Amino acid sequence: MSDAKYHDRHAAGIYRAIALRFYCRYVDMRDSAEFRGADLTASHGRLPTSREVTDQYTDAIEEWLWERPASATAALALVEFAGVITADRFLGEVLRDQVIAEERDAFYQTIALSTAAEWINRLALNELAERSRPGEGDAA
Amino acid sequence: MTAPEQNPDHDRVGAGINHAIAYRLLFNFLQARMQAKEQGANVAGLPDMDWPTVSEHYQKLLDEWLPEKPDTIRSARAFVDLATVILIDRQLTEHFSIGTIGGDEKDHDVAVRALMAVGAWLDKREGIEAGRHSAA
Repeated sequence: MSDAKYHDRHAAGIYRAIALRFYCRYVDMRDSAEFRGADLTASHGRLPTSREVTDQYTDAIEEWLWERPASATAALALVEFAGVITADRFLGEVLRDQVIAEERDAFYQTIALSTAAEWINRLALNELAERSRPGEGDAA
Repeated sequence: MTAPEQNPDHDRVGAGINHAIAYRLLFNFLQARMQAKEQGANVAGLPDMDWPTVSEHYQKLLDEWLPEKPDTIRSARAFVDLATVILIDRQLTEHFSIGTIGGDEKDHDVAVRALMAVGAWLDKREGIEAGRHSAA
């Protein structure tokens, strides 16, 4: 059981979406192996279809992508999510199969990065405000 | 499992290598699942498997199929897929601040062996092509 004091709902939702994206890849590759004749029933059990797991992934990301991050943990999760998409698209090129359309991935990346950037910008503005207070700006 | 001669889509070496790749991708999923769980996500609906088991299956499949030489275009493609997935996987896991299933050194070794196997297969094909040209 994880420690509740480290919980962050927003980051948790984003990481869950990342997990589902990785799961999409696994389901596709498992299908490929099975198609070529590998017997996977003993070790992998029944899996959802690619369509089902892709839908789960998009539902998971749509739920949390629009939320403004309230912590560095959540902002980091958004940046990692954008990075994972880039690397996963390369993987899709190799495996000749993409999880979702390029435009949609690019859209999700833009939202994730702009939301994280907005959070960083708020920090920068706060820092600027602190430095602008009398007696504090010249010290640096 | 259907015998290869009964199903034209079957390819035992390609299937074995793809199966290993599937475990590699499963490992990444489990890492992300754990990270989500640590942040408090409800992951009860997502499948689970312990890492040592996944790692063990992955290694066993590599030990079984990597020494096999690709003997078809499909199996050659599977070897290339394995090497490329390993190389990209590193980038993927770096973005996500996690390690890969095999670790850097072992990954490098597997990728090189996979590419060398494909190289040997291409070499053989080249010889066959050259023979055809000189016969023509």
